[in-house]
Amino acid sequence: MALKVNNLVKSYGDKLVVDNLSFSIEEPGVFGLLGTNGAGKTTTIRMMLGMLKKDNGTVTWNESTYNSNKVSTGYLAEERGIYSKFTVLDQLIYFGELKGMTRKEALKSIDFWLERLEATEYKNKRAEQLSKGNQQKIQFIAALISNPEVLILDEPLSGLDPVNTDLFKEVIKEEISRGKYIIMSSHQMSTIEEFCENLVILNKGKTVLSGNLKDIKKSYGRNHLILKCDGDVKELLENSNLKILNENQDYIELSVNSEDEATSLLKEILIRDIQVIRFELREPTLHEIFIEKVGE
Amino acid sequence: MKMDNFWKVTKFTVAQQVKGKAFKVSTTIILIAVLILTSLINFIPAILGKNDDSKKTANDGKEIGIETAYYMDDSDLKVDLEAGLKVAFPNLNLEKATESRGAILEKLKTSEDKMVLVSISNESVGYYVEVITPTSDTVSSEDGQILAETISSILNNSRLINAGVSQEELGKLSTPINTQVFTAGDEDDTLEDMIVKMVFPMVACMLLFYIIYFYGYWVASSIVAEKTSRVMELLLTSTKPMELVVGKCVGMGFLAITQFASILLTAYISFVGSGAIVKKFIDTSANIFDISAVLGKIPVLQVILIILFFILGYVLYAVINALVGATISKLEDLNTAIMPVSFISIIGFYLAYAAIMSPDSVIAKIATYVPFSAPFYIPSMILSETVGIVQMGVSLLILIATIVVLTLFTARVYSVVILHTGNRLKIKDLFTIFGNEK
Repeated sequence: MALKVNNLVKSYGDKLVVDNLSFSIEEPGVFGLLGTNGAGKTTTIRMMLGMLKKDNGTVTWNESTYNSNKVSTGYLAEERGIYSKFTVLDQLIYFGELKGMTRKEALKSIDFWLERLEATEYKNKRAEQLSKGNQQKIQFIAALISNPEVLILDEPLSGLDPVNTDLFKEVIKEEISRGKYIIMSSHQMSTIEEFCENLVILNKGKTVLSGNLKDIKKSYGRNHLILKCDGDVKELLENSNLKILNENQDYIELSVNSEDEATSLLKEILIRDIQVIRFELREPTLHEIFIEKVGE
Repeated sequence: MKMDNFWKVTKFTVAQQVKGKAFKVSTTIILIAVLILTSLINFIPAILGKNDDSKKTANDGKEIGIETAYYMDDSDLKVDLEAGLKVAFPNLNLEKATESRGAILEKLKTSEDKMVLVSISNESVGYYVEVITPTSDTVSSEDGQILAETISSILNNSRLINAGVSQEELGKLSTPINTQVFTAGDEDDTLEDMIVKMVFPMVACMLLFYIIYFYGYWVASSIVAEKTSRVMELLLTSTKPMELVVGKCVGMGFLAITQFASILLTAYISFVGSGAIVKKFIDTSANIFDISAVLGKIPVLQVILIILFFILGYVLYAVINALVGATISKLEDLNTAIMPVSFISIIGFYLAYAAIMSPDSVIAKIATYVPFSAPFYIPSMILSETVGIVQMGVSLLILIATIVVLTLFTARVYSVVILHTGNRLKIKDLFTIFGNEK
């Protein structure tokens, strides 16, 4: 099984919204779809789901044309959708039935997910009577109800309190362990780092970075140095031409071109008999890579 | 289009609309109004008729609000008035006036008794019967009028008998002569025929307008609600836009037909029930509205054709409303956006109304073939049997063709703008979007 997106193109008039986007999800797990606002993430998802007409390109599932009506797909849209005047149960049954489930199957699944997401008490309430976080649980259930093979989660954790964030994360991990193919779009880089093995970063419709997250990080090398000394190293740093990325009360963060450059700096500090409290070389975070690729 | 999904959308639309307050309240109000109005058709004439009957029976020997009548006969008729009035008003005390007219008139000014003065005189222009009631309201002018007319009738009969007319001939002469004016071709029309030809078309026209207006509005508002609440995006992962729009239109149409049928059933029950109540408790001889006789005048084929035009009329306007719903994404824009559709339906309704009033006019021809007025007008033509098969067939074809074209256009719009958010899209914007999509 593999979900493949090949050369996807979409434009509105003269404006190119998605420019020749390609990626593939070869194994179950979470794939990260990142980008700034207006980068083309939602347009890409809508084209994949067949809601928007593609100007060019293909989306395939197991070598056949992917269609969310044929391949069981759960979708949690960024702009949450719910019938505010209808009861939780009524609308979840409807969503389940539209996914091809019988009423009995839908009821069984609803009960399971309401219990799993600690929302059983809201079963017969109108959606408008629920808090935003609980409404999000109902929308998450709508995506999960039919036990889909493909899950598309657009900002799944935004607006949740820490308790519910952890609950959602647990469910996502469970879905990964069940062999689901998940596409996750988020601005929370820590979430993407926590879940995604592979990702693509879009900027104004163009792919600026794609591949395996570990490989991407490795390609950057350990070029971030965190330094904390019991003495003044400012003069030394100014003379070294190293770029200070961040300076606070606790430590100084520097950008180094190589590990050798960092080692040389350490030697200089020790020669000056300054005590080193913290000396840490690390790879850049996804946040830092994202900022570097798409700019401020 | 997957029929399975289409039916699921239809079922959900029906279930949720039925649960909604707007539907419950409007249905209840309509059915109560129908129940009251239709039963009044039997109750009011029966009650009024009973009052009329009581006056009429007063002439036949029952009651009149006059106890004593003093009479002066200065004519040359020499009629036994007492014998005649005894039959008509057994309780009336008729006394020949012994006092002068002036004295009795003075008495009438102050009397609180139920007395009158009857004066019969012979003037140059003819005979006069005067009934003078007291200044106080102890005797009503209506009772005075009844007494005067009865005396007049007795005098007339007496004149005829004096002229040699026998009692048998008098009975024949007393038979009322009824008059009625018919238009050629309608000479055999009964009251039931008139109701079928005139009242039913108007009622049908108004009902269709109501259904088109309200259910069309609900179709549009339901689509806008799904757009504004962003549910549409979720639905589109498992359904196609056409399944959604057709499912919604059919669901609302099913409700419209159900409500329409419940209105007819309520009216039928109300007519039958009120008729039975009138017969049992108000007046056994009252003329009640015989709904069964009226319905029996409508052939089954006509009923089927009328229902067909009703459904097509609803579908036409529902599709237009769905199209309007797809072009907006804010509920507050709905009333403005739907206004042109309302105008079209109002124009269609009034065209049909004018055509019903003057079936031979140019307006009638326009109303027959314009798809926006045909569903209002053709049912009335079917009921009055004034529509030819070719005429109806052409009208039907135009209507169906319009629906097909509009549905295809709506499907195109749906697939392109269903996820549009922001300001309301105008026709110009739609074509710009179509251009960009190519």
